[in-house]
Amino acid sequence: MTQRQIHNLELADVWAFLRSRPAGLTAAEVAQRLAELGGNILDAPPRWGWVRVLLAQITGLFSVLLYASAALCVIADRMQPGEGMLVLGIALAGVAVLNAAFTFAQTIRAERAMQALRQFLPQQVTVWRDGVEQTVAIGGLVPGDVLALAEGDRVPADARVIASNDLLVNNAPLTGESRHTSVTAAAVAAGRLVDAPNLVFAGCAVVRGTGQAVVYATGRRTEFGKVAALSVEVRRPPTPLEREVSRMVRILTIVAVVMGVAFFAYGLASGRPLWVNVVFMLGIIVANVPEGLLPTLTLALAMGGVRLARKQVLVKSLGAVEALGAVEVICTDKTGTLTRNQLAVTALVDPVTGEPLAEDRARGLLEAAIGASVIHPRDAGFTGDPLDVAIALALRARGGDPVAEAAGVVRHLAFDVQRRRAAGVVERDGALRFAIKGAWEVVRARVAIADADRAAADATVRRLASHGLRIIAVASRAIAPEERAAPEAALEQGLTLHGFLCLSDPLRDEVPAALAACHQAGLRVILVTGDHPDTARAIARQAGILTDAASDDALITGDELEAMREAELAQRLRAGACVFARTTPEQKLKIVSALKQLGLVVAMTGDGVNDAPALRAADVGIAMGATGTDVAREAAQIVLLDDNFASIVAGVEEGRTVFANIRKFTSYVLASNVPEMVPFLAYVALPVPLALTVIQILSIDLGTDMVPAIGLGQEPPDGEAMTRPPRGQHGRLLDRGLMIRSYLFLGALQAVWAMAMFFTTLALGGWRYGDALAAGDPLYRAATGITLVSVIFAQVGNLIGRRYERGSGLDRRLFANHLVLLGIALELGFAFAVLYWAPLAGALGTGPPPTGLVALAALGAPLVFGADWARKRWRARRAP
Amino acid sequence: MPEPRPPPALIFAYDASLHGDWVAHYAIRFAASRDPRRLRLIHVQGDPPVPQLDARLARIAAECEVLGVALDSEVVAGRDADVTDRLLALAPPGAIVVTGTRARPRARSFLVGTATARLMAAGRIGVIAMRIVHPGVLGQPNRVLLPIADDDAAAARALPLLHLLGTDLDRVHVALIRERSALRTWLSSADARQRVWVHDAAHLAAVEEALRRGLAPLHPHLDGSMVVTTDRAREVALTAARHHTRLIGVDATLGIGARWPRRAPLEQLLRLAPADVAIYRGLS
Repeated sequence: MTQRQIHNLELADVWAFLRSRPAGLTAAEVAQRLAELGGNILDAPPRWGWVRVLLAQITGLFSVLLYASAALCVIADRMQPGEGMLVLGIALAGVAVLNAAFTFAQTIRAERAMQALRQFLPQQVTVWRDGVEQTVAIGGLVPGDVLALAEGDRVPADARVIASNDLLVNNAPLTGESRHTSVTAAAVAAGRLVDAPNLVFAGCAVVRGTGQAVVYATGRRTEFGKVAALSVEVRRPPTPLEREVSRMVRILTIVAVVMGVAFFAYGLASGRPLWVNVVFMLGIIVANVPEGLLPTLTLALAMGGVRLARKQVLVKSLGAVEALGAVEVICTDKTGTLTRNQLAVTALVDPVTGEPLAEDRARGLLEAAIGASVIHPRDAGFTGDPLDVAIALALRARGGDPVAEAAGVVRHLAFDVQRRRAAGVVERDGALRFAIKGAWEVVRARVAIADADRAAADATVRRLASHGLRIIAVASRAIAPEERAAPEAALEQGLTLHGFLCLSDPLRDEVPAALAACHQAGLRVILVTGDHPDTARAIARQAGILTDAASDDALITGDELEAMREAELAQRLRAGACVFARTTPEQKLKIVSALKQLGLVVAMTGDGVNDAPALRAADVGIAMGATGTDVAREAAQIVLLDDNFASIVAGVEEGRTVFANIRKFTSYVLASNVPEMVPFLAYVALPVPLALTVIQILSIDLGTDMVPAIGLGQEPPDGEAMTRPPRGQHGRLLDRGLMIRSYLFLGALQAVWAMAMFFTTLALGGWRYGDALAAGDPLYRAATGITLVSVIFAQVGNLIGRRYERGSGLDRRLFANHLVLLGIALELGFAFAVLYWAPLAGALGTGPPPTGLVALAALGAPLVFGADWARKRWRARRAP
Repeated sequence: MPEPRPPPALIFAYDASLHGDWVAHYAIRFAASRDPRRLRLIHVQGDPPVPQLDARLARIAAECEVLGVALDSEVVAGRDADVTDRLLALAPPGAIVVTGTRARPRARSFLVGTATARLMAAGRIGVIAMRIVHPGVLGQPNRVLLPIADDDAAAARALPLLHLLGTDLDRVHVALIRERSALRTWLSSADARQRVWVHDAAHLAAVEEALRRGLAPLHPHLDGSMVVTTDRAREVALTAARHHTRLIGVDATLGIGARWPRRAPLEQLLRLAPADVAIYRGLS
């Protein structure tokens, strides 16, 4: 059947199909189309979207648990004033609100991304309606509207060009290609819509000429609208840490609620007063819920973000700090990330022999190339297209004067994407010369050489390209004065081939080492580039992405990728494909999807507007800070300030360290839950006083544990972070080993020690088993005080041990981490204040015990530290 | 040898609106993909009659002529409320009626409560309800998205629509989009989610295989993906944007919804769609 897409239609058919006319639509038609299709606007995120996010946070189970506990505390305070329950309730509610507040910052990001996208669209446009040229707001455009386009305009909607006067557009927002495309009004027979030379697309810029176009798609139906939707509306899946925290909260919440309710029921059944049971249930819940854990975790991530910033990695989302550490695959660009983005002429080669040109011919080649270039002298160098700048610098290095050569250019024919060549007419000493530079495939047919020489030149190009060099052919011919303004096609005949310019963008010095670190860390690196396959392969080899032993299947071209099913791509990736050449930015999204299909945690780099969907879809989107667009930066979670691949690797190490530190302080915080819970179990099961009150538990969870936990979150990398394989999606924050160690070893040890101190104090004070003690009894206050400080002292020992997974903890330069030292000082200071400083002792219901007992309680620190060290040594001996 | 059974009649229910003109491109293309190339256009003429109806019909006839489609136009009198009954009376059983779902005043639903919805509910004929948001596609969508549910008959129901697109069809993307609330996701274990994923993958593969067999003469590029989401309509729209879809083919059984019409998945999709939408039901 006849293929009739909008770009295939003759102009008469365009009007007929879109029910429009050269004079434009009538007001009634515009109104009708607006009612049918809506305005030409990019959708904004829901105005109250942040409320939804906040509500989701507030109504999370963990928060609900804390709010319910706070409400019960308020009720309990009404029932039994003076027990400090109101303070407790306020503290619990405060923790829940604090946790919810951290999500606020994230909610405005989507809107910022959309604002960045809107900057690519004009506010007002000139259209023809009712036969009159008029200016209208962009939102009022409808299909069928006739646009007037001029140099400097942004295209407001996708449109078919109906008149072109030397119209040149830049489609970079859609294609990522920074060079311009010339646009015509003629129908084209075949080809993809986005490549059609008679279409202009929303968000793209008119860089030259004037023209008219008829709109055929508006708003979210434009190609730009689709990019916008994918850049803004795609919900990034939770990071591995978010999933793990969710899982941990689920486990801890279930444990806390089940235990609390079960013992509440038991208390009621055993005939205890309701008030006592309420306090008891609250105690169980509060003791089980690590209230300080989430704020500490957030702080650890925030401070990890600060450290990453020092390594040129700017983190926009806290979750990305740790997600970077979980990454298993890094998909990276080439130019500027692996390479220096400094194109340089590395050789000037004879096309036939393949040998370097003699000096005089080399200089002639460069002078001819300058004739087809545009350079602007600036300071000591030049600005302009990187290729033109590289040619100018090479000529200068050979003693030539590029500025003088460029001054002779009397006509320039700019490079455009379809023609793949640039040309110019140069006047020197009254003689005119036409010069052309471009890809060999394009220049090949325009030079006058023998077939055998042409074949030899083909072989030379293949050989040079296989070394990763970019090859530009340069040719010229003398022209007569009357040919000065001749059509380009006429000038491009019978040219003399001067030779090949070989250019390369050298690898950054740090890259090979960074790649080696990636391999050691079990990270896979995939190169995704728009370059020629030979160039991509060569750079991948130099960097160490591709080994010499790699098969041809390791490289996939954009055309192959286009034809592949996502499952097939996943299969190829599983088999080891690691270089993608001649790809378009939008194909990055397909690569990300296929990698995620394999269950891998993926980081993707990008800089263009069209990279934004892939950045959004990846687990970690990394935008280039130096060369990236605002849209890419807003869509990404991480901005690489120096565009350097090595900075990503440094970020991965920091991310892994952050996760290891989170495990350290999680283990530290969970350990104190056991000595907090055991007093309540003893209280309900035995006729003994309550060894720790709820407010005392909170003084540990939200007091003494906080700074040490934050200190553990700041532990520097242990040097082993990049020797372990990535933990990916399945690395557990709260695994069985950590829970057993925290609860059944460290926690149990602390509980035994604290309860022993409690009963020793009571026994020395004359208490007998079964005696009840009033809350204000000095003996009871001294006994609860000693229990509290016993837990605190034991936590000091635990803190030092937690610093190092395998060593003692003292072997990691204790004084290197000031926050840990500060934490220990605060714990010790608090332990003495709680016993001997009357205002604090009064608030917490404690009193001074005999000094000898305090000294004895202090032995809890070396006891826990020593036992933990012995456990580590025992494990080390058992390890293979 | 028995005579091959002729294909069911293809009827274009033309409302003589601008949207109807855009739907006409599809109806004509559908007709051009069949043998014989025949399209029956029925316009139920209300009071007052639509202005310039003859000119509109002439344009449609001209387009039919270009594609070699024989057009039979019928303009029958009737009130707006009678449209469904008139169409049902005129359409033979099993016929396929192509109709439009245009925007209605005061942001009312696109489908619920319309003549098109009543035609679908009648169940006597096949219905393709088109919503055109991208007139530039000209009824020739080369890239089609098929959102499907966990349903064994999904491929069989979609195939007649794909056949109507004929050789224009270049790519078909099948998306198995499973809707699940955030709470349910939170409560389900990783193992449970993995089991669902494996089941969906098997189902998707079966649907793809059935489509591959069914579309064998056309050989479009066929691909599939699976998504779990809290908002199916939005996910369909995003998947369409991602694959540069020109037409979203939606099985009406995915949910018209009458209780909360504006919140029904199909209504939301019709509102959000970045590409033309074809809602089909009862095609054979």
